[in-house]
Amino acid sequence: MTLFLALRNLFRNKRRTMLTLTAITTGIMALVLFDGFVRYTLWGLQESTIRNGLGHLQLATAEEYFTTGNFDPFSYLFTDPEEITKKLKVLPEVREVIPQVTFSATLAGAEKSGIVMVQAVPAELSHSLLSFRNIIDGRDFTAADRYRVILARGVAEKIGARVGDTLTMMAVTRNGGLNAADLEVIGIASLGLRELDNIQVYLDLPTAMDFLDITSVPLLIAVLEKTEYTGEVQRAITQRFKPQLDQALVVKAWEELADYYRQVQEFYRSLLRIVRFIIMLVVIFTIVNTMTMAVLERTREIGTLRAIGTQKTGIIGLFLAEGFWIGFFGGVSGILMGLAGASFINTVLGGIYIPPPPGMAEGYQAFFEPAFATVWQNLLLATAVSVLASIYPALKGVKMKIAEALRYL
Amino acid sequence: MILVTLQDVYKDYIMVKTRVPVLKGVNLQLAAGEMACLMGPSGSGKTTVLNIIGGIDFADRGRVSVYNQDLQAMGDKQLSAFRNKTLGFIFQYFNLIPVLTAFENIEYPLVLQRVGKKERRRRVEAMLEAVGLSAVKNHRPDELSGGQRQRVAIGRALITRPKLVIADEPTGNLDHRTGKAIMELMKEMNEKEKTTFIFATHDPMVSSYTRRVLHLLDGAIVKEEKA
Repeated sequence: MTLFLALRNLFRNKRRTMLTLTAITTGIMALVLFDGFVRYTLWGLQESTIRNGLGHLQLATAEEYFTTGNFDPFSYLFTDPEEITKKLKVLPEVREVIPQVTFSATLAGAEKSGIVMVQAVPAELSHSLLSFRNIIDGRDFTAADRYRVILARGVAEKIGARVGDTLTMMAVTRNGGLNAADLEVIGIASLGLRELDNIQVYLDLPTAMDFLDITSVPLLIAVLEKTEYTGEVQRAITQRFKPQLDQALVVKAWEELADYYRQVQEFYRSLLRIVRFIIMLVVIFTIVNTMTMAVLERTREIGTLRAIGTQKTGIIGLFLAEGFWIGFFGGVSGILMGLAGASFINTVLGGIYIPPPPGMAEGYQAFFEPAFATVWQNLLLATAVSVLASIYPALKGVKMKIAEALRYL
Repeated sequence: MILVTLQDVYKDYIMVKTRVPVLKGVNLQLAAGEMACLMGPSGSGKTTVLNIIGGIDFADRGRVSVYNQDLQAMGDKQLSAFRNKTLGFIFQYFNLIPVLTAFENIEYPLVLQRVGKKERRRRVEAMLEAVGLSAVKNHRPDELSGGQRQRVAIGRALITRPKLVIADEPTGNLDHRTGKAIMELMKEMNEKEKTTFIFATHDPMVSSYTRRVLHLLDGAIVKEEKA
């Protein structure tokens, strides 16, 4: 009866109810859209991070490799990387296991030189690991390429190198001596992330191993069929394969290694919390105002209901139920409007262009993809906030003495 | 059987820092099945007496007993349940719930008593029949005339078969003919159901339906007439 009566009361002052519903609808719609935008942006960043050379899982021989390995890859070489590769490839979730060497080197052009980070993988597997690498000039590696290099855009600009130029690379080899080699530039790539664009260069793995005088690699990268499998495969490797191996093994998930992604994720989450807080504050004030007006208008009615035997809790329940309905209807219409808005932006407008965010080299076309779970959270939030906001007016409603309430005009 | 006892009841109101005495030692007893009436000019304390008997206001001093219950000693929860089960209220301005139909308004006190749906329907239909509103049972108060609204209010007051019905100016907002019809209805209920009624009114027509008239002046009963 309480919910039924509250529902009817909701439409007594249609104009005021509509205004309140509009406020909640707008707020929830904004939250749904913003959440969809953040989700897409984080997904984009996640995939570009993974497919720019990080992979889903990285396997090394020691924990220290992940902090100092780029400067001393020789201390962490696997004794039998093929054995691990073979075991991992049994898992259906694993698409590719890619051996990789990463080391720092000096790259010199005709007039300028700079420190770069060299990433070397087999040419035939590079498309799996570097699918977000965009060759903007020249070409990608073929299996036959040796002593050729692809430069990230920022490196090419700093050194002043173009496709077809020959550069000299110098780095310390396994025996501690300094080695130098001439490399032909076959391509220039854009990586999306400015910090990578300014430092990264690519070699094919045989060239890198020959140059460094090594016969094994310090790192194996697992690329999975889907990013969602990361945790599951990490557990499988740690629990099932690790005990069977003769060599030490440390497995890191991409998220543990992607500092920039984690910072951006935390930034967006904080932003979302702040936006949600502000919107809910507006909703609270709107509902407190609406309910206070409703309580004032219905003072005599409250007196009547109390006189005929309704308990104080019954009156409070009535106003909370009204708050529930307002929040529920506002939430539902906000979600529907938000989903419709997202669909319009995605399909009709083809997304919205976002200029390069801090740390990114390029802007991107943003789409709005709200998560099902968040949609329900927003509905729950709108309803809960609405009910909570009704408590104060409801308490005010039962505070008045019945005889006074009945005299109220 | 004595249903209502007011003994040396005093009540003051605070009006902007000033204490205004409203009841100055009211003594009253009402027997079960009686139909009594409080008469007096505005401000004489009629409504306050009714409110105190109805447990919606409290005396500052004195004893208030209704149906052997000391109302002054009851907590809010107990008092609400007591009002719902033992008393019925009829107001000058009908005080119906505007979003409920005539049927639902009459049904509401039974919902509070958690009476089953089937039983509720049976009793409400019978009450609608008794107050002559079966044809308009699905109408909301704003679709009813003043007389019909007061009939709904009477139905609501009587549906729980209360021991006592408190009616404050029940005809105050009705024309003479409709008021008379309403009083006839209440008299009929009094005779048929033996329900006790106490009225507060200015209207001699109302008092003509009662066997006992108590005259209030400045917060005290100054005269009593019995038919």
